[in-house]
Amino acid sequence: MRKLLFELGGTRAVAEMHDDVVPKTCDAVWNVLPVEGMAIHANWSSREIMLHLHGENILRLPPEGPVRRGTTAPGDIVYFWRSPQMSRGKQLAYSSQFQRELSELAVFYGDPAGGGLAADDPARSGRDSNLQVATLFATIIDIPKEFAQKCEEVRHNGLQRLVVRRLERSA
Amino acid sequence: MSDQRRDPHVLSRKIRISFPDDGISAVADLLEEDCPNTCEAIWHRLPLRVKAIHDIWSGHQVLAHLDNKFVLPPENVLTYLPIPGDIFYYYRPHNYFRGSPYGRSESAEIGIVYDRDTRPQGPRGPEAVSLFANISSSLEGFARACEDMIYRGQKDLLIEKLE
Amino acid sequence: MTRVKITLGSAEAFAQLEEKDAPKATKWLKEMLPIERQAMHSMENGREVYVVLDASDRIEEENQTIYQTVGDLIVYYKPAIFVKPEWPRHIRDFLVIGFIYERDSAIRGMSGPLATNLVGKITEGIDALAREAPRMRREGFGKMRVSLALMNGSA
Repeated sequence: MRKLLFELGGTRAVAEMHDDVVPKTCDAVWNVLPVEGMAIHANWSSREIMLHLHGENILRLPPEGPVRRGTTAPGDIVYFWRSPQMSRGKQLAYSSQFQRELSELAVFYGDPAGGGLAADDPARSGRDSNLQVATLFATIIDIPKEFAQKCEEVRHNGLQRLVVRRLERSA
Repeated sequence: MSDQRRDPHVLSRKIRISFPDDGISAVADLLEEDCPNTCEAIWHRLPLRVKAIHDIWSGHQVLAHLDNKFVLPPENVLTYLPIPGDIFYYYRPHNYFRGSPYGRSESAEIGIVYDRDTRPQGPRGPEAVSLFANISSSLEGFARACEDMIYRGQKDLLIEKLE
Repeated sequence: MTRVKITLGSAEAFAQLEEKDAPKATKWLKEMLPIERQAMHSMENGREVYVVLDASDRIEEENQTIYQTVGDLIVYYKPAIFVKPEWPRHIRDFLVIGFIYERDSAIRGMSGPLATNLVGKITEGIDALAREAPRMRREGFGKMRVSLALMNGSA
């Protein structure tokens, strides 16, 4: 399994990709790495920080892998895409290029993961699955305490730079 | 036409919604910046005279069935709680719900949220709706006419362009 | 009717207390004012900002709804896990006072909607709060203050 390295405010976490289950999504993500940007904390899905992809790093991938009904576990790294149609109103907390179409990497760093309103959104799932994609493609190995703490700080202290890299095997 | 964004410097168009038998009306702003395609499609259907009924699942909401062939893709999707005055378009295909609420399995609808404590839903729970307008004046009187439908039943609803 | 002033960073807003519909809760709240504490953004309910209160009294259910909407000033017990990174040893809920500043919000507990005491309605300044809260999500949260507003608006 390929591995990813997440770097946030001096802390790190390593995630294992699910190459065997969602190979195309893993390939597509691998190919845009490294990516970096200002991660923001979630306000519907509880313990999650999100990195919005922009420019040539935008990924528009079809659904892949087992159907997810919004059930999420701590450590999940999810590729999330939403078509402009599915956005409502203005997203003042996001940068101006992420107002309608969203392409992002979501890092669920603790409990509850996917809790809150996101867990009660049957309206968004199902029928229009081509308009919204959420693919679980990696899992953090043993979420480091400092990394989780840094993610929590994003909620209180604002945006924090997140870098996602390939963790290359040493020769 | 529906692919072109309207000039943002032009103020959003408005519609008048009324219960002609009661002499009650309200004015709503089309949310054209957020929901351009749905607003355009609805605008071109006006004026519309439909039968409005009080919703049984959602709280303070009335709905009117449109021609089932008037199918629009989702846009400016609202899934959590609306605010009073919100007006939305909604479509469900055949057999989506268990049973046929209001006698219709497949349905294209306009819904009007006239007071708080409301969430658009059906037998399977909350539903995603396309939020395309919001009542900007005379909501209070209009809301009373909507609530009245709980006791007195369906009413004719007229939706017109406000030129 | 009592008016309160809500300050969040540089934003100011005013709310009317729902004294007729929530007499006990609003009486209790008036006795607690002024409140000035670290503001927190909801991780679970959408566009909600709140502060945790120290209150040993148990607040009764009053003027409750699960359909919170823009401009609501609410008081309720929030599950501790949404406030702290881990469950505290002995506490399972924190009493909070908060407001809703945009659509797509509703208060949730661990397993479903949470009914909250509606203690006030923001009548002025909701737009300022709706700009300040997202700014703080990007730049960091400061203090939120709730105080009695005098007739001329100052407090």
